Amino acid sequence: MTYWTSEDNVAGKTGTALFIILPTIGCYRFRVGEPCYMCSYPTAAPKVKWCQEAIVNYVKEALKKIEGKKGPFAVRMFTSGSFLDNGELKPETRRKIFEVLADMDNVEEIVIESRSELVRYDAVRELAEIVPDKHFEVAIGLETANDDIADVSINKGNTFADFVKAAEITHKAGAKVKTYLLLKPIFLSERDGIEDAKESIIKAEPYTDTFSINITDIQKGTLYERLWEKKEYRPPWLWSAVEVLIWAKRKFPEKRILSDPVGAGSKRGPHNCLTDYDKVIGKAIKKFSATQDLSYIENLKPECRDRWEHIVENGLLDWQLVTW
Amino acid sequence: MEILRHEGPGRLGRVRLGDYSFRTPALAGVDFTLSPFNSFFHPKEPGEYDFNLAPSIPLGFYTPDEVIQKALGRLWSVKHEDFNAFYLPALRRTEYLEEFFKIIERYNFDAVYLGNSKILIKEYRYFVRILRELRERFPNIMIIADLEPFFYPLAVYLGVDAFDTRSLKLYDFEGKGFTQFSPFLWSNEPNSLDFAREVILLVRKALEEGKLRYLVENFFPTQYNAGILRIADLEHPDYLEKYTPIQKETVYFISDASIRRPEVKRWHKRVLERFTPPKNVEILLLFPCSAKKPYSFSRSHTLYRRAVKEALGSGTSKVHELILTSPFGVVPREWEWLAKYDIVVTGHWGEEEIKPAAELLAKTLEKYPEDIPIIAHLDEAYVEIAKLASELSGREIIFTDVKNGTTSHESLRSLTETLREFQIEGTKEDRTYRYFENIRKVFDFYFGIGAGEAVLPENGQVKGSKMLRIFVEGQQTGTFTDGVISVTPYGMQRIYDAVKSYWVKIDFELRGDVFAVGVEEADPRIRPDDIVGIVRDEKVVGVGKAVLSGEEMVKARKGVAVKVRKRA
Repeated sequence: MTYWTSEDNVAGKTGTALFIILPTIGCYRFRVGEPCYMCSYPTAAPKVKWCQEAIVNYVKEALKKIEGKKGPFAVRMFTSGSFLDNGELKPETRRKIFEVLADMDNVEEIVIESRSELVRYDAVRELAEIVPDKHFEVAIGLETANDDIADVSINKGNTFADFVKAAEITHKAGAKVKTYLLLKPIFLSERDGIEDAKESIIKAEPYTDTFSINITDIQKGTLYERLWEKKEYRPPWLWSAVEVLIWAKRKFPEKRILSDPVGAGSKRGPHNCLTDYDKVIGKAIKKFSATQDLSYIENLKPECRDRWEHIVENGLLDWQLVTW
Repeated sequence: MEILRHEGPGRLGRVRLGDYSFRTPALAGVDFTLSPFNSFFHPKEPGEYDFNLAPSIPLGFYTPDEVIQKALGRLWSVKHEDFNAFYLPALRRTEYLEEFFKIIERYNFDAVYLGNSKILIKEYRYFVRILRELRERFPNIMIIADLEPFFYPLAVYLGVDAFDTRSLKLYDFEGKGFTQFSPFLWSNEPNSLDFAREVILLVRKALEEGKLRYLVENFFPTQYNAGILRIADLEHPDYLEKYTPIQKETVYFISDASIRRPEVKRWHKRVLERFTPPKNVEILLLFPCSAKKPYSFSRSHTLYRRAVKEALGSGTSKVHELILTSPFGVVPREWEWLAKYDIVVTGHWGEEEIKPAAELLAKTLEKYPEDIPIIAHLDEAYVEIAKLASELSGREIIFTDVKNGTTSHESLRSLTETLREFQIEGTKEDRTYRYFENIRKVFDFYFGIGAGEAVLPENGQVKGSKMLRIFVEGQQTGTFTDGVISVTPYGMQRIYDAVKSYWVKIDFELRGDVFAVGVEEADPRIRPDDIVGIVRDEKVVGVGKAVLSGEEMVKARKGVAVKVRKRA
């Protein structure tokens, strides 16, 4: 069963987030053979199609984990696709789930995810109306505000303009916008990865309430994995993540800047020199994310930082980092 | 950049940037400055660098088709005019390289940065192939790669001109100091840039002295060095050979890779294509090589010849001699001046030495009339070569009775006795004919069959003793000194008229040297250091020494193609 809790930022305060992976059939782009190059989440979607009622029951079961407990809680529901895709969840199912959540006073924040083109006014509006007192966010995978990168390095299948439209609909429908950005897509040097994240934040900021910086990790069976295996791609340095987070929080202090560095300190995840200290930095990033307190990541020991600085300053590409 | 000197596809070059110029092989960050990688996604304007990379997408070597196509479509939109260097991602799907080449061609870049080179070096075949395609198409482009110093000699030999040094610092951070035996042995003192400098100076020195191949053969610190050289030698011998200068100095066959040197391939080809036996031959002799070169100056060959003379007297001028050797295989006596080499002699011959020698011998035997006897005075592996050649060619070979080496008293006596069975006599005309033939064959070696006859026909004259001057109808055609030749414009005209070879066509009045831009057409047989005729309207207007290979001087746009020695 795939749900879990962890300390996180809940509508601006430090609290606990409950993550639930809904067993839908997953992202339609994946099903038609056009997956995002870094993504293999939909491979975890159930092989047998669950009936809608069972999905609602599944959510109820997951919610038991926080029932009656002291909040604040955030409930973040992922579907390995789009919550707003009628092919994955029927409107009625979505409403049922939200009705359950509406009754839970300790849940202060609800996050669902959707691709831009599936964000429709009516669908968001009816959900927002069910949970009027909660911080309700629609998370949209923008990944980058650069349409060329979105196509060449990600195969996202939509553009920055699509995102803007979706964000505007979301706001109009009474929900907030969480913007996912991918730190360091393939075919970008460490330096260009940082630059792209910063530029994307600047461009997306007017449409965004919360940024979530997703630091690339290597998922099974993806193009990213193939290039990584051949040493043509390296997940970003934790120092790059720290750099982007500090920069973003200082520039936009009123925005939530979140990041969960999945696999931090491992070869497949963001890492510096793969020492124990990498894990410390990973935890510091999570702590910053939960608290929005920059001091967690501003005062880290500069371990392996000279190497990272050299790589960034000289714009070295990942294949250049191969050493004997 | 202009090419000053070749050794294989490797070049000593000069790059001019305004009033600044530097020599290649060179290092970025030492000899010239190079912009950081410029991303298509977040492009930068050209900066204060000698070389500014145009915005590009650094596709990985293993990038699939779909993604390459997306990227290629975008690259054409870049304003390439503002930049002088192009980032070329090496791709496993080589069919797309052509598209990148079109961009390079169209915008006339001065330098190409070979992306993914650290990945590519581990893909023997692709490394050689991609480098070859680039090098052949763009002779004046400076190719920059990012590799460790222990790949410099090999990479330069195969056509790389410069190296990026910025990633070397990673070794300093890791506390690894380069040694002569890295990557197997490292010192504790970080030294990456100093080491890179030392190696590049060594490579430059080797190029200046014609010792680059030697350096490459003695620099196998990784399996990739050995593998790539082997692939280049075996699968791209024509690529290596066409840029290899005409051999002047002794070649040292020192490693296992030596027997695959371009000089060896060239020799075999020339024996097959450019050697034809004298017309009056009645006996063919096969001898083993000697350590001393030319063979005639050795003790063993002096003894052989004495034995031959003793048996045949005046008939000696109707004998022809082929010398068997490794790795050149077969050396006709007249070409012994040209076979300058030194090899480890242990008496142990490898399969890779015996078989090619036998095959070459078999084909050479076919050049002689079928009714002449072939007598072999050989021992050890040489016998094996001759027997195999006899089998392959169906020609019978008579073996003398060799005991205790070919120079022992009894062996030499056997040689004399074997020859005594053949009654042949030579006249004064035979002697003169063979004297002329000795000279002609060397011209044939350089310019093809018929060239010797052109500079020294039957009515020609030879004057002098040490340096022989050759005349036709009172006009000098050339000189011959111990196998070293020169050709006058008149001689070159005669060669051109007779065999149409080694010409460089121009369409302007010849004043100084011939620059690559001025070359209309050139004989593709031309190699660096060859003597060539400069031809305008079918008239040889000058004779010079080629700097580039024939094919290359037609493609190249910069630098000297032929250094002119004499104008008509």
